[in-house]
Amino acid sequence: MPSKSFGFFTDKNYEGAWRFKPAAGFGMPLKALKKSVELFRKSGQFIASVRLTVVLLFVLIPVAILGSVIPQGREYAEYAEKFGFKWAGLFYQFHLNTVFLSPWFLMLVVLLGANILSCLIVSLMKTKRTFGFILVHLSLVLLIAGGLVSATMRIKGDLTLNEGQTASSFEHNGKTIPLGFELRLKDFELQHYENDLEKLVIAMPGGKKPFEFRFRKDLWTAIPGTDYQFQVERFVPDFRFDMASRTAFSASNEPNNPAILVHIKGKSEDYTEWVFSNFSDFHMTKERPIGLKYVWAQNVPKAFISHVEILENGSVVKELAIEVNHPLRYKGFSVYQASYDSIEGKWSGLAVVKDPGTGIIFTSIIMIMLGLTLNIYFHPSRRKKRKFEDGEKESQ
Amino acid sequence: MTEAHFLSAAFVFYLVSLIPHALVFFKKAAPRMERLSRGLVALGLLAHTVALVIRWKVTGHAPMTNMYESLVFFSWAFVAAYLLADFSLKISRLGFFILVGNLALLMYAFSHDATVKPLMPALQSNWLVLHVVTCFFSYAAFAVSFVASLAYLLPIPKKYFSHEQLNQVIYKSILFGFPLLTLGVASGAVWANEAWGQYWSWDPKETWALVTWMIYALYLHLRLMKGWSEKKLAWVALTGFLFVIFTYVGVNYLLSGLHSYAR
Repeated sequence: MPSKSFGFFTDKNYEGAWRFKPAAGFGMPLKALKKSVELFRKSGQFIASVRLTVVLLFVLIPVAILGSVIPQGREYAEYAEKFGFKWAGLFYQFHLNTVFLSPWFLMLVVLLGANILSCLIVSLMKTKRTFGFILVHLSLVLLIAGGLVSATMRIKGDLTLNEGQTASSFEHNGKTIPLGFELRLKDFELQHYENDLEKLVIAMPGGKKPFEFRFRKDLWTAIPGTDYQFQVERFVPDFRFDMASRTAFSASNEPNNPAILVHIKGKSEDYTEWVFSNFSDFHMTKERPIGLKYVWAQNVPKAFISHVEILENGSVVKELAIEVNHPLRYKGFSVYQASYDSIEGKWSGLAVVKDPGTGIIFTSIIMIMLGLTLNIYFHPSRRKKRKFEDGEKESQ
Repeated sequence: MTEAHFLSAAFVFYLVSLIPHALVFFKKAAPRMERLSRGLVALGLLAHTVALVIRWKVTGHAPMTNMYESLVFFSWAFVAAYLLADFSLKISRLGFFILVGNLALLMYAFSHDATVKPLMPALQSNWLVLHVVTCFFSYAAFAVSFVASLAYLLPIPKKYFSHEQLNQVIYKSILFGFPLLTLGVASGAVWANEAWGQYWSWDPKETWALVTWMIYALYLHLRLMKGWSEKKLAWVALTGFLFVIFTYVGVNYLLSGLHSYAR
């Protein structure tokens, strides 16, 4: 039967420690003091109860859901447009636009941490607990502590570097933070999956080999060996045509019917034509004999790599590459590949982070995993039970 | 032979296994039928495994990077979790319902685009396998607990299921899945820190995974510390899996965030 009186303060052995016995003759002030001690005892009892854990989880679950449903960290105007001024005002008043950074959310989390820690202490005083049990609950307290350290002490800044440019500091909340070294972008490399590039294929009349172009919007490109040139003027991911207004539009952002509007100019020709990637053959007619074929691809980059140099006192001390999943770590800072120049591949966006909470979080992750593994998969009572069952089977 | 051939073979094995599973459900003592149903499911799982290996080889990465691949993998994990649960808890009577659920899962997978797509840079990481495998194995264990809690709560005559046994299946499946979900969420946090420089961004997927984790933590505490009744706990387990489904599928379509590639 599970214990209902889990709280430490209900236990007779410890109750005395929380009872205050007043000396005779002090009268009313002592009564008030006694009352406040009683209140303190009761709140202590409440904080160290599993009931509070359950209540807090029941509160935190809808709060977290609320924080995922209401877009976080947006401008007032965006909320007003989406939800109306009344709701936008309410969101700001109750910090619902930044739920996870709000004082009341942090208070709930701190209360949960205090609750877990006091439950653990009380539980250890009352009964013998496994090492795994202690590890799991301690790790949760550490996890909350690490989260709070990150929330208050994490610094992050963005660096946008052109090739050859150097940075020695970054901005965080309006302050300039020195790196303690210089970071130079030597070269930025944008790799693509070769077989997966978006292209326009143009077949000139006369049966010559078609030309393949990797195109960029609104850029005139000459077709070699001819007097023709072309430019792509529009891209529509899900092409639809409105007959009433005779205009093309996109039904969604999904690439269900990708199409491009190609403008062709020649000696006497000057026309635009929609080319559809779902139509696998060349688009051509008698009047417009230039064949056009559009091969749509998601244009997913394979990798974007910043080749950087670290300089100290003017000389290079390290050369390395920063890419997604491979940050640079140097002198307490971590530098991440965050964005890039998708058009010309000349600049790189890097994020510089220093977070003292990360180490605490990772320690708590190791602790929780070790604790759960020990407590659930290798729990002594379960192993004993299994041994007992095996023994029973053998004796049968 | 291609991935599609093996996946179709797996589907057929699972489908055919419904017959002996139905017989096992209605007839109490049928060891031969139980063996046959297990054998068919094991053959299906073997074909399913080969299909996954082929896709891994063709794509050059673990087949867990979009909705189609993850659904096929989830289905594989669900069957594996069922066989494991059947081995330790003898739940072949639940097999019929689990297999029906699994066939629905595979059909849902087949409705998605199966073309091989290039892997975006953020997904090119060794953390991918650990993160996805642990998450989906936990989902699979919770799916078993969901089927058991449904069987517990539906007015099925007691001669088919003992409530005591169903309660054990619910509890042990959750107990098995909980550390895996923890590892799944934790490995995701470590990976996010490597890729984006932030271990937790309160992205909708992260938030809902945490909510799911809290619900199962709540289940364990309500069972072990507060002594809730079996029926109430079955409701908590059922709710927990509804949150799993929303975390897995709902978030991708209804809430935008860092996991948008999972569609």
